[in-house]
Amino acid sequence: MALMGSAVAGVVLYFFPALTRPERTRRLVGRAAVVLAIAVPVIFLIYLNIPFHPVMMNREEGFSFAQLGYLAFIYILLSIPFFLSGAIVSLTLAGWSQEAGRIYWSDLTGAAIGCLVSIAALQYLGGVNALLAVGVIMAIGATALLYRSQGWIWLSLVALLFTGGLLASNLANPWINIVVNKTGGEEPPILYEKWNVHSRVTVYEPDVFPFFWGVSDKLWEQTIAEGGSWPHALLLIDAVAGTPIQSFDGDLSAVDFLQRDLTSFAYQLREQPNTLVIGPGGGRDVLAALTSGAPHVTAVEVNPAVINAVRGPFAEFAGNLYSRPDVEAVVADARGFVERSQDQYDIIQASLIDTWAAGGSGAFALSENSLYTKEAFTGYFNHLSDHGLLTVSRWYLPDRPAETMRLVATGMAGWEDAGVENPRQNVVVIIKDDARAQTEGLSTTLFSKQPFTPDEVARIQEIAESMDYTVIYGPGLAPFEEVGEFIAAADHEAFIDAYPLDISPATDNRPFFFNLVLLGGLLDPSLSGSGVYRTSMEAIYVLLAVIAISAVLSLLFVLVPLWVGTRRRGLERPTTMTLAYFGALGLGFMLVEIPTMQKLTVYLGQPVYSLAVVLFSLLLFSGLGSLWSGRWANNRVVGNMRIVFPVLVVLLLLHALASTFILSRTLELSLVWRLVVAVGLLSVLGFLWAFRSRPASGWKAVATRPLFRGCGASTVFSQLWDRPWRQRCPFMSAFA
Amino acid sequence: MGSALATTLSIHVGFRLTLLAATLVYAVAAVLFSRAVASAEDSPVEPTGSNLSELQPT
Repeated sequence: MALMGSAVAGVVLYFFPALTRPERTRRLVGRAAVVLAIAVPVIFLIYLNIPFHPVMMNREEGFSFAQLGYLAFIYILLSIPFFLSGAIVSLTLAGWSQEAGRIYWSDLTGAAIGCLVSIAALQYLGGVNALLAVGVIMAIGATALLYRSQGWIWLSLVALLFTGGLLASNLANPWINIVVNKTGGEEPPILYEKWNVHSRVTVYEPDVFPFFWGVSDKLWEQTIAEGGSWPHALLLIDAVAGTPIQSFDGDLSAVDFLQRDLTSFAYQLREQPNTLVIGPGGGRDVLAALTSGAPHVTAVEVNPAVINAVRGPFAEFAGNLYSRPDVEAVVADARGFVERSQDQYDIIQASLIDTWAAGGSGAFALSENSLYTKEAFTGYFNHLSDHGLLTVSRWYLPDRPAETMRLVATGMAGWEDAGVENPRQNVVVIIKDDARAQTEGLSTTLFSKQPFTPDEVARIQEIAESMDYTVIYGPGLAPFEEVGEFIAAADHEAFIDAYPLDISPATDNRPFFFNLVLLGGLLDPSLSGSGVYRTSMEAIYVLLAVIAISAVLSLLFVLVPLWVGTRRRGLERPTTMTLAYFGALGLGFMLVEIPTMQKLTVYLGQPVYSLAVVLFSLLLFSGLGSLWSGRWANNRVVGNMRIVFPVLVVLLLLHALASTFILSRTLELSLVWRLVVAVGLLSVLGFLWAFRSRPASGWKAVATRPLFRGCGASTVFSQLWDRPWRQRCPFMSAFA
Repeated sequence: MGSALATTLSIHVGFRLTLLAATLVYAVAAVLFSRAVASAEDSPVEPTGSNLSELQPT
């Protein structure tokens, strides 16, 4: 959207070169800023009311063209602010062309600062108000630009009043609400809402029935028959990822029903375990550990808003769980925490921890996940005590239990890397028995530091039977169901290759654990019947739809106008080589930016940190590079570029081959030092990238072509080049 | 489109191969640049009228 908007702005200015005359640009920049200031909140309000639900793109009744239409409309609508901001930057460079180098440096530096400010804005203002604040900043900028202009100054003041009023009114009494969320449902009344850089956290009215992730019918009936008080308030992260806050009055015996959940099975096997709970959310797993007699529980939660909700407004309801002396609630990404930890744990628990909220998109199949990679599992292994257990629960689809199979494959690969000769001896998989009659069930996989002994396996089987659960794999037992057959198979790789879904071990190089559906399985109706696989498929549908929409809109708004326009006006078209060159620059940048951002998400633990660091570093160092390259003499540009390009290619090669090694060796550092490493890693690349615009201005054969002359090659194409950095953060445009 | 293509590529072949692909693309860009410069040196174009000249550092 950012690229599209900026590119269209470039095309418009190319066809109307009169607009770029310095005497006109100053007025136009101010006027465009007024329009942008008003457009930002107005477009946002329209956007909030578009009934686009990714989950409804492909349901039983077939593909929804209406949803595709909504997605295309959103794409066009959200491109408008980028069109305006692209035009503003282009006009500014044209209007103050003698200062182009400094302006460009200011633009990039401002955008880099905007990256950091956007984090604070999301934290303190929330998503809605942060965006409204962008409108206010734009209006202030417009007023400053137009203060001597007759007529338009009043309009800019109206824009300032309008945007300021919107922000003030919503701060005083929030009335702009998200009425349509990605799940396709309307939200029930909210008891509590908090935004931060991670997500939006909401808590709803408590439910009175006991909450289980997976419990057998027998134990459910037993729980209800025994009676008790089980209220729990559901906490949702970005409207999708749920975690219950269990009502607790300090009496552990009142909540010992939690032990019946399949996710708590490991607590039947270890006495007084020193426990680490990964992703405790509302604290349910922490309570389960305490009821089993755990003397100390460390709970590592990545989202501070979740911990603050349980510690703050719901502290009494949750029995001050996270303030107990035997509970240590830590706000950190679990992967980094485990790597840094000096402790050994008897039980490490991760129950249904996933990133439905990651990236704010809900397309979690496309989101990287640092907790389910073989390197992460090696880390868990190294932090288990001698008789320690790692317990991981995942959804289980009896017909095609790919999620459980991939978990097992990833865990065994991690155990192998840790030096375990035959990890088949260290794995037990238990499922909720009656789940086999349902669409989806639950599995709990136990990974033991030491091989399971026959006595232990017998005990596990005995306990499972008493709870109406089924052990589908255990050392010494006959392999049962697909998961059992997979673990027992002599050749895992052949099994993985032959399986219709992707069950290969996830790694730090390809940490997409939840992307289970291979491209060939996208149209398989048997897969879309399951929520687990449907989510994966929906994410890919959206991705493919975005590619298609981008292609069509690029054709309609950029390529066709350029093609037709140049012919009608008798202008010279850019050569194929010129287009290929700039196309390669754009594609190459994206091929670096996206995987780097994803790698750093694994490294830093949060997509938001990764986004901010990548954008900040590239913008800042690129700004410095622009400043330096701006001083090159014209006759040195080509010669210098002949040095810069090979250096850039070598550095990229090193980045591709060595960055994973560097990041894995420094993963145990604190967040601040990891941020420093990440910025350092990107600094040289960012600096060299700044020279991308130099060939445009120094390359006579290109620069003098009419296409580039319309508004300046470095303007148009640097827009295409720089927009993805500048406009990924809401505040960037404001600071640019 | 490049963004969506890069996402698809990194999911299916991993980060390392995607970054190697990026390296290849930049290498191609470098070759195109060299060839274009060589071509421009053979047939210089009159820069008169280009407001790009205003962007050139002095």
